Amino acid sequence: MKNIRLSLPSHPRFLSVIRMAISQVAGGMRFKEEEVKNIALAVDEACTNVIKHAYDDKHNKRIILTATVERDRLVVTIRDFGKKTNPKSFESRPLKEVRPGGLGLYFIKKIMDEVKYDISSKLGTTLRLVKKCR
Amino acid sequence: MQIKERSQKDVVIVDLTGEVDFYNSSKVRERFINLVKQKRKAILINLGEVTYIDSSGLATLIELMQKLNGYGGKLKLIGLNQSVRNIFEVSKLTEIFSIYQEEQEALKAF
Repeated sequence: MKNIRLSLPSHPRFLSVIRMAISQVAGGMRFKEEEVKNIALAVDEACTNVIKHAYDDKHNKRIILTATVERDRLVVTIRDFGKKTNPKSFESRPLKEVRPGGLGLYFIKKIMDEVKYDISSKLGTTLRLVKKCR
Repeated sequence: MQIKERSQKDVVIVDLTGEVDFYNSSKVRERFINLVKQKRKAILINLGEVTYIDSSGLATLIELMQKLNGYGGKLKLIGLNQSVRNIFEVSKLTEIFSIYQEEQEALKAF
């Protein structure tokens, strides 16, 4: 069984658990070591965004994470039940604009092959991230 | 994650250890803000024992650099391992920070 489903509180202390779980799944695929670390970073950043933005730093909400191994790719979904993501906020900041915030989304987009927000549910957002094995 | 401070003449050296993420980066920020309040002019951050850093950890470093620049202070980084360096490279922060491999080399450059 290669796939996982985790239901975790929206507390930042669980980010390390998320990184570890994703690394275990991606590590069993044909990704290079550096790619595995990058995937864990992208998923960490996405979950951090959920805590910060969807849940306004409330730590008693729920994040549901799934990681599914398909033939040549890893599919990760991150489901929250908080404030819907504003499509206008999907843009990461330009790198030449040096300031403390806004790098998380840049990492997610740079690292993953597909980044798709589904806001069709009544409550919250499902983010789907795909990384292909090369 | 651990933060330790030591001094080498006028330079404050901050040794960070472990994983720096959204959970603990506020603790790192607090220490940095404290150094800024003291108007320390030369700060060296040793990332040699940092195994992971996310965007919130990077944000604390960017903020520290900008605050130091505001009063003519200098920030240097040392000891980035391959995976941390990779994160700096992906975000092009290697072009913004003064990064050295060895402590002595960085100290001489202040």
